[in-house]
Amino acid sequence: MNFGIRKYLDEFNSRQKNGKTIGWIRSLCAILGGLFISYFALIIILKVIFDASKDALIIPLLFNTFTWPCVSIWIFLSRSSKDVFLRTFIPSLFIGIVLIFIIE
Amino acid sequence: MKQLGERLIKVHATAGIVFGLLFYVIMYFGIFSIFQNYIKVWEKPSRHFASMVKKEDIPISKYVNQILLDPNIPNNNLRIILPDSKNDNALVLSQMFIKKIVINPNNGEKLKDEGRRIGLGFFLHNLHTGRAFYRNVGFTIFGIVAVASIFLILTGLIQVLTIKYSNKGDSALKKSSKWHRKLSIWFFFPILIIFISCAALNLQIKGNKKLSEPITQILSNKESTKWPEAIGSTLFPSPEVKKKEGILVTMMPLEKLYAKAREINPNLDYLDMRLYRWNDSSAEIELRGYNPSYPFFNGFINLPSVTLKGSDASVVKIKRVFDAHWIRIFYEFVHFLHFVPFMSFIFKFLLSLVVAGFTIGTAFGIWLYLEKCVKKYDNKIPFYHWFSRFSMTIMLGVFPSTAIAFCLQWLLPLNMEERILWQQGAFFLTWLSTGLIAFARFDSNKAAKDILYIGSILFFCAPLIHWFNSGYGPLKLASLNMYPILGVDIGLLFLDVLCFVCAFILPKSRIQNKKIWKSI
Repeated sequence: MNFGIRKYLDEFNSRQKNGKTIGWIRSLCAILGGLFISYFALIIILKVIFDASKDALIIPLLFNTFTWPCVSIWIFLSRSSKDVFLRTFIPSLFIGIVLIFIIE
Repeated sequence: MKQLGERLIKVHATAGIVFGLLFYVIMYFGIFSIFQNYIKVWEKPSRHFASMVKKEDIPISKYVNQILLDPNIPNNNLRIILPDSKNDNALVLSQMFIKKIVINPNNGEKLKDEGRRIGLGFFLHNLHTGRAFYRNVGFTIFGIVAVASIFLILTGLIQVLTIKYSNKGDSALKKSSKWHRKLSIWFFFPILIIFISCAALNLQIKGNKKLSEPITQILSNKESTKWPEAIGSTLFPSPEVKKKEGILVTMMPLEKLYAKAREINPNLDYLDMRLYRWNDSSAEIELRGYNPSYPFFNGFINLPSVTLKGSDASVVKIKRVFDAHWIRIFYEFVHFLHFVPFMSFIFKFLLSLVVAGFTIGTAFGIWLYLEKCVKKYDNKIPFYHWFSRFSMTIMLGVFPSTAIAFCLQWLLPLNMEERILWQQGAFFLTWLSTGLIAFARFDSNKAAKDILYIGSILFFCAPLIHWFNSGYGPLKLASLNMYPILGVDIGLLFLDVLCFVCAFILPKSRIQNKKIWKSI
């Protein structure tokens, strides 16, 4: 039992040798995580760093849909399964925390 | 590195197969969408007249004053669209609350307008935008296709940059890989800009406005929920509202005001004029135009203008290209290549060539996938996936179906009941029935030949039917300088020749197939 978990963890951490399969979790993480990150990251950059007025809304309005595939490619091309989770959830958590502060 | 490359190829192929055919359809109807102004003139019997007078010499005020005598026509916010803007040869009067009034610029005769929504140009444009497929559903699907195609373009670029490809080899696999790569690299940049604008339009700006609600709320500090509330007034500013003074004054004639505007800003191609509070002492006229020396900065929503006083032609305001708010110029810059509304024919033609090249590149990409998963029987006879027949239906079936839509436009009587239903029904049924040919024929070469021959026959019939039923033959059209209408006929004949040549070149046997692949 213990041995099985360790083997699974090793596989999880190490580089995958075979790139011929994509995997459902990887694609879900890439598409939905990419959507979440790209949708809110631009607005947070504009709001927090540049303190933009509402005129700047045009930038996320036009480029949200362009940054979505960019972020999802970045997640898709991670080397190990661990990387996939790190690349999706660390930015998402960070963005979520900042969003809570902004909304309040 | 090897694992990365494999994954890239896998992701690119999967997304390409899922979205490739829809992508092809969007690009194909996009070409018709570029030329929709010409098709919109071609399809209307009311626009079949020769314009004898120049744009500058039309006695506009004589015609407009006659119409303004009618008390039902409002004289505030009246828009007069000059001939030749949007390739329409008629003078059009429009206002929010009235039906469009269309005037023959030669003699001031009122024409019977067929309306925008019955036409073929509008239908083909809707197939491009996705509105034809149950509005928001179509918008969403086409928007997702746009996002996926940005994804495909970017992954393809990374592949080309990281993996070393060689152009050697004569097999169908190598050749289709080579041409997929080459055509995509040549034309990717304008297409990428177009798809950025397309994805934004379909998923945030025009369709699915609800998706942009959260970001709007955050950036405007919860003041507004929808994006038009937040930035609509700066992006599309409405004219200043002034009060009428209530004193009747005789106005300067419109053609003199037009001449004055041309004197003030001679660089503009004037498109339309708007009359505010006409026949009042506070009357103003705004003449908008397009400055051809600054493409990408004006021409879509940002139009420079000259505003004059109606009573004595004194200048009220001159708006140049860069006087607009930066949002407006930015919006213009992103959307310009996608829309090209008032550009010259040559620019539109070049853009359509780029789109056509990229579309053929996509077709080669799908062929590449089919060659990769081919099964060989007896080590000689290749068996393709059923997807090959399906893509043949979609990719080659569009030619006969658009051709039959063009044929029926002039074959069916104009006052026929349910005319649109018959035309569009015939369009979709023809498309489906090409699927019958593609799936039922054992030899795929013969099936492709059949579909293309049917397409070429129908494309040949379309201009003939137009010439006979409208009473305007090709020589008459050429002698009367009605080039936008003749151009559509020539375009249809060009498509006919294209279909015929493709069908003729396609070999009959498998051995000759290899020769074709070797030659390209």
